[in-house]
Formats: sequence, C-alpha cells, structure tokens
Amino acid sequence: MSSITITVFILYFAILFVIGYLAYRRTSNVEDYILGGRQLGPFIGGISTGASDMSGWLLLGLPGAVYLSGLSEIWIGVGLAIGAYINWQYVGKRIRVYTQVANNSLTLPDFLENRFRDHSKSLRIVASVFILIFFAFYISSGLVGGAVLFETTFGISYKTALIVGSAVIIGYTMIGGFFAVAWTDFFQGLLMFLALITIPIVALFNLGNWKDAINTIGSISVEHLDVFAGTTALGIISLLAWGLGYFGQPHVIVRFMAMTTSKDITIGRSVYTIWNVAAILGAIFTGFFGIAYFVGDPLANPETVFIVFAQTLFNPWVTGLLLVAVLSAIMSTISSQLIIAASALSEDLYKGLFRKNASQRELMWVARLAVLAISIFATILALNPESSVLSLVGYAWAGFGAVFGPAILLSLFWKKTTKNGVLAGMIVGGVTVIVWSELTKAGIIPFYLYEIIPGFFGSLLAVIVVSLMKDTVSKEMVEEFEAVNLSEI
Amino acid sequence: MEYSLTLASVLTLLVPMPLLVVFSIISLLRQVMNDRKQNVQSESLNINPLLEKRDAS
Repeated sequence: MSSITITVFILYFAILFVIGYLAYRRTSNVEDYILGGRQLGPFIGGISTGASDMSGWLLLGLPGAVYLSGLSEIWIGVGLAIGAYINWQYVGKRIRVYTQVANNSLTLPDFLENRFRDHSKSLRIVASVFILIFFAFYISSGLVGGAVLFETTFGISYKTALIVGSAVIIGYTMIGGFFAVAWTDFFQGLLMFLALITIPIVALFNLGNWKDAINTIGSISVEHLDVFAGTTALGIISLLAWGLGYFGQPHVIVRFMAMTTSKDITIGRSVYTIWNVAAILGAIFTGFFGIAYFVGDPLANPETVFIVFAQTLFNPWVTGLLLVAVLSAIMSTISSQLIIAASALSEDLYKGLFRKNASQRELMWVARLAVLAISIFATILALNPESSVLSLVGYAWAGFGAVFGPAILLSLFWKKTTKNGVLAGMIVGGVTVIVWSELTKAGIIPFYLYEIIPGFFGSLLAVIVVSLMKDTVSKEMVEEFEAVNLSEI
Repeated sequence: MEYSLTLASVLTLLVPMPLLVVFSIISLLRQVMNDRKQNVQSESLNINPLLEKRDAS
C-alpha cells in the first residue's frame, strides 16, 4: 500500500472520529443514543439508509458477479431497487407515525410489544433474541469480509486488519451512538456514490466508446450481453425476491423511525432511490466494463474488479479515496447493525425485562457497554474465519425478511392482527427459511428457490390464520390503529 | 463482428430502475410545489389581519 493511500485512510479514520465526537456532544438521552432523537432529515436519512443497507457486496460482490457472468446477474439489483422503493413508499411513513403513537417505541421489539399490549413479554424476547444473534454473526461476517479483503489486496496481516477495523468502528459507534452512525453513514454513502459513478465512466473512456466496449464483450461471450443467458424462471424469481427482505431488516426500518416527520420520508425516499439506483447501475457497469478492460489479463478473483480498476485507472490520491469507499461500504453496514444489536441488549432486554425504571444515564452507559460487548464478541468470532458458526449469516437476509417482514406489514396495515398471529408468523418465517434451505442442500427439494419466498409467504399465512382464529383485538388497539391514520406527525 | 445488447437486456436496464428515479424526481418536484403553495397560503393568512386593520382604520 502506498504512503499516499495510507494517508487517505488515516484522514478517513480521523473524519469518522470527529463525527463520532460531535455526535457524542449532541447525545443527551437514550432516545438520542439509539434513535437519534428522531431528528434525521431527508438527505442524511436517505443516503445513510443506502450506505447502511448496502454492504461490501455492492462494490465487490455485484461487480464481481457481472464481471464473471455478464448481464444475467443484474436481476438481484432490480429486485433490491424495487423492494427498497416499495418499503420506503408503504412501510416508511406508517412505521414512523405508529412507533411514536404506540407509547413512543424506540426499537422494533418495543413497537411489537406496545402495538399488541403484550404483557407476557414474549414478542419482545423472541424479536430481540433473533436480532441479537443474527446481527452478532452478521457483524462478525462483515469484519471477516473486510479483513480478508485487506489481507489479500494489500498484504496486511488478517489480524491487524481485523483489529484496526474493529477498533475504529467500536470507537465512533460507542461514543456517538445513532447520530454518529447516521452521519458517518451519510459521509460514507457519498463516497460510495462518487466511487460507483466515477469508475464505470472512466473505464468506458479508457475503452474508447460504448460500441467498442460492447464489441469486445460480445467477442468474449455473446451470453454476457443477454439478461436471460443461463437463467431459469425460478432463478429470476429468486433473485427478484431479494427485494422482499427489505420489509424486515431492522437496521433499515429503524431509519424510518428516526426521521423527523413523515413528510421527510417522502423526500428521503426520492433521495434514497436516486442514490440506490445510481449505485446499483454503477456497480453493474463496473463489472460489465471490467469484462472488456481486463480481456488480456483476466482477474484471478472477480470480486476485485472494482479494486483493480481503482488501482490502475487513477492517481494514488484518487485510488486511496476509491479504496476508502470499499471500506465505507463495509463499515457503514457493520456500525448500523451494531447499534441495533446494542439497543436489543440494552433497551429491549435490560430495560424491558429487568430495569424498567433505570435512569437515562444508566441506560446510555448500558447501551455503550452493549456496543463494546457485541463488538468484542463479533471480533473474537471473526478471529477464526473458518468457523462454521459464521455460515449462519447466510440465513440472515432471508431470515430477517421472513421473520419480521410479514409481522411488520400486517401490524401496520391490518387492524385484526393479533399478538399470537405475529408470534406464530415470526416463528414460522424463521423455521421455514432454515428448513427450506437445508432441504434444498440435502437434495430433498429438487429445485432451487430462494428460501425467503416460502419463508415470507409461510409467515404471512401464519399471521393471518392465527389472527383470525381468535378475536383478541382490544378496542384500545383499534383506536390506536385508527389514530395512526389521522396523525399528522 | 458487430455485437449489441439483446432487446431484453436494454429494456431491463432502462425500464425498472430508471423508472424509479423518474418517480422519485416527480415526487420531489410535487413536494416542492406543495411546500411553495403552503407558504403562499400561510403568507396570505398572515397578511389578512393586516389588511383588515388597514381597512378598519
């Protein structure tokens, strides 16, 4: 790694710490620490949601897949863009208002408990344990991804990369809480956006023009130019179905809850969509032009196409910035998941179960310690990247989508939804995802269908059937549901 | 030999995602127009008492 690149990295880390410190000064209570005091504006909200939602996959995985197989890999991008838009359009406003009307719920488990007047605490416990376990593995897997990347690309030792990366993320997340996460995500989202716009445009100029690029790619394999090459109907449906996952991702849903007003969500949706579509198309064309650019010297690891472009097309300062964008994509996702996992531990379990009357000061410190504890756990887990426990993360996107997606959608839009319905839906969704995936791996299900599809619809059905079995919706719950329709928050 | 993207590829690239951007830009413009309309209305509401005062005097 050149000294210039190292300088850019150090500057980047310094900016993150400054943001963390400014956020610390603005944080005075638990609502600030885990939900930014519901003061997120549309620009910070829109772009930071994009950065936290899109992990290293956007800059490494997607361009790598397109580089390897051509345009038939774009379906997942289409599914994600549509799913995210629908999520902002329908879930965003309603959950922002409903969480405030329902006893000012600060977390997703808190909302489910308040929405259904659940005195048994079962919804809170199931939801927060699920969040805690899956995010701990998600965070660990993100740390492994980042450390492996820096080890293979720059020759830094795996442990050094892991420990430095973890220390920086812990630093700004622990001191600054949600404000720090949202503002650093915004900054990181801008870097990702610029990087994903710049690389394909400069690559295209280097290739000559669009026609030259297409001719070179077509001469390698004409299938690279066809979105249907090597695909099946179920395969395309499976890729599009990734978009269903958005309705249940806690780190995305919480951004809606943190926006200042529901009007900000309308503007935030537009900001997010422009960012998201440009970033996904940028990632697709980075991989696509990579096919033509590296025709004489194919890449051993397709997932490094973005990095190799950054290193070959630009001067060291710009290269440093582009590589920082890769790190931004990884770090922004980890920090968002970290703050949600910490809130599950501190707000949902510690306060919700044991210390209902704890002071704000005590809760803030518990939340900070929760960030530290979860980070240390995830880092220790990441020290052994071969650990089979980490394979659990493969279920996380589909798992969250199936467990929380139908539960949230029906809680928001169907007044007859009951507590038992939601509980059944969460369990059916989670179990179906795991069982379906294992049965496919064992060859008992003879075709491939992404597990989120049976998981999501199984869960949806379970919520509806169990809710209809026994009418336990209280008058108070119906009145609250209707108050949300009239609210002008 | 000349190559080109298949029609399906062109449509997939140019329809779903760019369409979302168009929706978003329209939505942003509508929001701006609504805000402007509301501002004009609130300004005229503020002016009315002044006009009444002037007329009365």
